[in-house]
Amino acid sequence: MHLPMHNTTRRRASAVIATAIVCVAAGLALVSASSSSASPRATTLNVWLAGLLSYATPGSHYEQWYKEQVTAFEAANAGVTVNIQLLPSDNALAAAKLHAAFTSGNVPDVLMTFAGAYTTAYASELQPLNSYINATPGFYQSLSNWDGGCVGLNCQGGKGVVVGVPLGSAGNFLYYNKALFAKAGIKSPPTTYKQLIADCGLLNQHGIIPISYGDQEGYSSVNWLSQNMASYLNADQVRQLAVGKLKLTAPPIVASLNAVLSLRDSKCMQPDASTTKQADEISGFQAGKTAMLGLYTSVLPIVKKSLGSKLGMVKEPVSGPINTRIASASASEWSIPKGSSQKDLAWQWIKYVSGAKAQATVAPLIGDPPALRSAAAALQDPFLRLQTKWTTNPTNIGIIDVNIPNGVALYLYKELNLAFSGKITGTQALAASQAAWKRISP
Amino acid sequence: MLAQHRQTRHAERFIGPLFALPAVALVGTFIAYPLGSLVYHSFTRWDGLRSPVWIGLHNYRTLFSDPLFGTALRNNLLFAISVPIVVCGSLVLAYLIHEEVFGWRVFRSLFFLPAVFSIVVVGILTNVTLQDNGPLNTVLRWVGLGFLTSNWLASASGAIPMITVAVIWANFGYTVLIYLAGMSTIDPQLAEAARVDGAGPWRILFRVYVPNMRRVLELALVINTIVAFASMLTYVYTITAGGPGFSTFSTEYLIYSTAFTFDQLGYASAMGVILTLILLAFGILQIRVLTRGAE
Repeated sequence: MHLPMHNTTRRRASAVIATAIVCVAAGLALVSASSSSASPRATTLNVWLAGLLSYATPGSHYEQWYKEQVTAFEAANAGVTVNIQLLPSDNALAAAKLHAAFTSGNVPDVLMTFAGAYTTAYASELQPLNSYINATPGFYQSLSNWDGGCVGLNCQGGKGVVVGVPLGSAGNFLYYNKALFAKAGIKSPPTTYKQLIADCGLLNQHGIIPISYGDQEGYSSVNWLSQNMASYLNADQVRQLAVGKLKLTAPPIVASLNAVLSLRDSKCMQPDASTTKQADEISGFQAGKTAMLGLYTSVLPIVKKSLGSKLGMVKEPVSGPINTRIASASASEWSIPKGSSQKDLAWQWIKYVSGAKAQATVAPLIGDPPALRSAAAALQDPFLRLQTKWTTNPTNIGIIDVNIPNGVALYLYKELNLAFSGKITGTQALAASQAAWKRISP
Repeated sequence: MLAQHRQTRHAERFIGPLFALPAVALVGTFIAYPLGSLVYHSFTRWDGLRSPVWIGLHNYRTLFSDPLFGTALRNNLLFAISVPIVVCGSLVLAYLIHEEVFGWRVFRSLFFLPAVFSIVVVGILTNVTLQDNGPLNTVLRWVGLGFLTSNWLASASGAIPMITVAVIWANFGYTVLIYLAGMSTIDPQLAEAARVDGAGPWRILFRVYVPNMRRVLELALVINTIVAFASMLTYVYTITAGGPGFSTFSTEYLIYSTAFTFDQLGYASAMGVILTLILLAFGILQIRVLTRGAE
């Protein structure tokens, strides 16, 4: 004997379940129909930005530059979507991310990194670009500062193994606040460390912090060291450093570093310089609180905007006997990982950003003199012309941390920070880094 | 019937292992395999990109003469000063909250608030606070204690105590919660009986609650020890980035840097093995001491 109510409930439940199954089936059918009638899937070009453009945060000039290139490239290549990913601007974090990417095979189609060892550290995982360059007549000759993108840091006029294409030129310059200099009674910017130390004294007397310095990561010390090394060493000697024939403890390098540390002893930097991040060192200068800033070509648009007509710029002063060259390198390198499945498209991107239209906006937006020679020659801004003149000087030396193995550079930053903090001497810092070289890069 | 019984027993022999299989697979995949790989690679030179090269005990020999590793281990021992402070301090606070002293609701919320923040936030806040012109020095100057100001992060002697304070602040509330949960499982009549017998509040804490909370104490001790030895990377990175130089490196920050910054995964694996053994030794020691007391 059954209960009528029990049967009704069962029937209702069956009806609900059946309805649900029909709805799901209909939904699935709709989804598959819409996807099959949709346009063919767009191609995505994955571009990772380490190096200079890792600072391309929202609202920055760098972001404006790469967005313009993305828009133009997508317009010229129907069906292509360029997906930009910023890597950490901290060199150690970026190195970790890249290492993990190459190990796992999860690599982008195009990669930007700082030049020199930051690029060539991954040379075994990067596509040699010689065949692409040779198939593009005039491409190699149209750009400058190639050596930072070649194995052995020597492109040999295009015959070497090329793994990176330069974006622009870079070096460190001394930006100064003309108004603060006038307030302290300084008539002209310093060209030697002796003059710089004297100017520090005058500025301190007027309650003005002489130099903005952010050395928590060791970057400021290595930049000032590099520029000062140019007054002691030539390019061949720095190449010898890269292959271990010249030691970090060589007297000219020790002398260069000790001179930088003497600036600290002369109270040229703000008291918390050793714990200030490099990204923060610029803010004191922008705010008009510090008189000088020794930093890259690429900060020019930023400081020009902040200081306007009060901005002055000269080559960084040096302590050594040679004052006719600087330390310079390519700003950053474009490369194609071997694991990219769209190498041809990646090369199209690199050709585009190395072309006239993209390179014309490198200087005003990124601040570096462009790698494209014709674009560099067309610059009108006096600051940019001065930067171009110095960064393309054929007697320049390489920047130290892009000439030594990547892991050693990351170790050197730490030791330099320790030296700048006064915990160890400059000699000890360089000796410790040299000792670590054998272990890190045998 | 006997045959059926034998068949059933035969089948039962496989049911146990079958039910254990998922757990074994999980442990094997996420614990045994990584541990085995770690031990293997500790005997190799490996940069993660090329194949590892067997070098025997070379990494361990280098490790025992590496001043950086010594510095990192020493720093972890200094960070471990936070352990007794957190374990004992949060016990007292938990007791006060459990006894519902005046304002206990406010204390409970206030002390648990840091546990809600991610460690990155805690680290960045600490870094900003301790800057030369940061809030701490500014307040000290305002109240006339300018002679106490310092560039806290400019040296290991200033930075390590500050990192330890940040660790204590971040872990205090979480440990209080663990204790509160433990106290709630104890029969309130025990405490009431002690009160009737004339025991004061502190006597009740140490004679009634603590003996009945050995397992909870064990948990709090082990967790906070693990934090001090193996969860310091985020604090160190956000507060000092290991600086000045390498002076505030912790062991796992050194392992991370060695592996992924200096591309020495083999050497980092050797460090990982040593750290694992140290933590294992600490854990066994702590559990044995507390368990012996219970026996």
